[in-house]
Amino acid sequence: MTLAPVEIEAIYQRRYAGFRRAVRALTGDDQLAHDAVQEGFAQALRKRGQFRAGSPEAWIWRIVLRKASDLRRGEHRLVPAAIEREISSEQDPELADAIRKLPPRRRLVVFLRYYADLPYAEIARLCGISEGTVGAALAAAHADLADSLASEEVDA
Amino acid sequence: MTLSDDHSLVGRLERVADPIEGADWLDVRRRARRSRLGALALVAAALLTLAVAIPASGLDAKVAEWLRISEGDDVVPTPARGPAISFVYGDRLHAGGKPVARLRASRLAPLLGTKPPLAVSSPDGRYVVYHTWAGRLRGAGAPTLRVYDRRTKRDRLLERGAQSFAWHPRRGLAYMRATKPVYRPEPPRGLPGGGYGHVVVRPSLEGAAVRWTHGPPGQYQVLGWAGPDLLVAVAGSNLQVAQPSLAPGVYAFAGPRRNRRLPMADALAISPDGRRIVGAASLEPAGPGSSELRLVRVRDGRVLATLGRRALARLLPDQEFPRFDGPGAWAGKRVVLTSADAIVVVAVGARRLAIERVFRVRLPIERNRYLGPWAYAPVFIGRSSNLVAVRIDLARRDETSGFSVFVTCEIDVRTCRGGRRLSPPTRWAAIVHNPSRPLRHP
Repeated sequence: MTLAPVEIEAIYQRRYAGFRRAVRALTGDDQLAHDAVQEGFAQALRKRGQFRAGSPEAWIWRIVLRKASDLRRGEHRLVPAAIEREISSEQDPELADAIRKLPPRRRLVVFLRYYADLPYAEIARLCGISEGTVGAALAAAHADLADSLASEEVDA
Repeated sequence: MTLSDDHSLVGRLERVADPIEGADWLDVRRRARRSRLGALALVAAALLTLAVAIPASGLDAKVAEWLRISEGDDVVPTPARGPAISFVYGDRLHAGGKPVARLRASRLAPLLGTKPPLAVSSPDGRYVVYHTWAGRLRGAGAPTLRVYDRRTKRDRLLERGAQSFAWHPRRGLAYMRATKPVYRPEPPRGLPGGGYGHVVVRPSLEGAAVRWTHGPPGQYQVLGWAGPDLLVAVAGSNLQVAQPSLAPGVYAFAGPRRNRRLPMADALAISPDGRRIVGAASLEPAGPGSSELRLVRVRDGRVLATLGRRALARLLPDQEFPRFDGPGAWAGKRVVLTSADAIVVVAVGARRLAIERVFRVRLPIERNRYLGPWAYAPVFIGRSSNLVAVRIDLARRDETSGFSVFVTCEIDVRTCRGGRRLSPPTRWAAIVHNPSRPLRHP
């Protein structure tokens, strides 16, 4: 079973921003993040015949991640300062502020889930925790955020 | 916090990220082409070296003089002449090694690739249904099925906007009918067309088609008939507008909307009586040795036997990703599959799978993991489980160099023979056959 180019393109159109944000958080370098995403998808196009079963999106994400690692000559860890920069939002500044106030682990998981749009399995892999812990951290973050937003409403 | 509060919060979280500009699909395609050109330069250099190293007469005439097949470290002998096969190359239908008919269009199926059976003979052998493409190869176009009648020499349209095909003597003709016939690489909105649609079945060439799948259009691929059941592969979709009603996998359809999922990710070969299939399954967690070959009963999906990939990896230690690859073929108690440049013969018992023999294709150039040589789509010749024909491709992605060649092997006596080189590979080559089983009335 192979991937059609149009399918890869559909993933690209939908996931470009999330992948770029995630790689930017991994490298702290926006141009490198763009290149890693572009090169990753280009490689996915060339190697689409090698795709077998599973999630095409996860398969492409791993290629992008490898490209990012290649471009960084093997360096591969989350850059907290880069994540801090990422968590800003013109769409919803109030929520972005609340996210910044989360404890670091929860903030990281929220970032990877909602800014980078990564699935639980990838978040678990990047953070070195189990998928269950990802779920638990997200649930706790939701509760913290709900409290934080509610208290702001009361303060107002 | 109430449930509705949580839903509202999740909704806000899902919209929290600011949009990012910079997505440029054309740039991705340019980068993909650039890398290809780099790889092609390597192949061109390899071919140049080859041309210098080998006398031109040997290179130009028959591949047999420099294509070697081996089993383990032994070179398999090449007989003086091998059995003739029927195949399509470009727009020519060949039989007995000679072109016998010119088809109205070239055999092409860019949305399917070159591995599926793209030139399918009718159960009685009279017709050849082949895939072609109406439109620009690198632009908008419609996957198209045409029928060539060997008796009347007439070549006619079966359906525009259709691909993947199976023909059973009693159950009829099955294929995927696209919801929008024309595929567009960059659709303005909605479905891309061409590759998305429904499986339809018609009782004869002239009969009315009946839809067998339901729900939103999906990426269906008809694999073949296994007795009365139609095997269909469902690909995963990432288009939010097209979530098919079936999860990705292989399904046996007994009729319209009557299907059951089979425990495999890919169906590779159908038994001669159509009651069992051999397929590949992925195991969790993913990693080396994480897939296996499965012998499955079609009726109830029961797994009768398995064979781990490690057995193959031990025989192909130099292959980076040895795997049981299809489509393959099944005759008697043998299934023949491929793994990169290897032809893998598997012995099948009632509840047993075992690797019987592995042939390797050897060319006097270093194997390239992307450009081959690759062995594809083996087919048993005639009714015997001894003679098998395999297509070998080299530098498939190159539009000017590279070639395809058909190799025929006699498994019992370990002899193989390469045919003439078919070049350029942009004229796709495929053996004419019918993977459905059984092909005759019981």
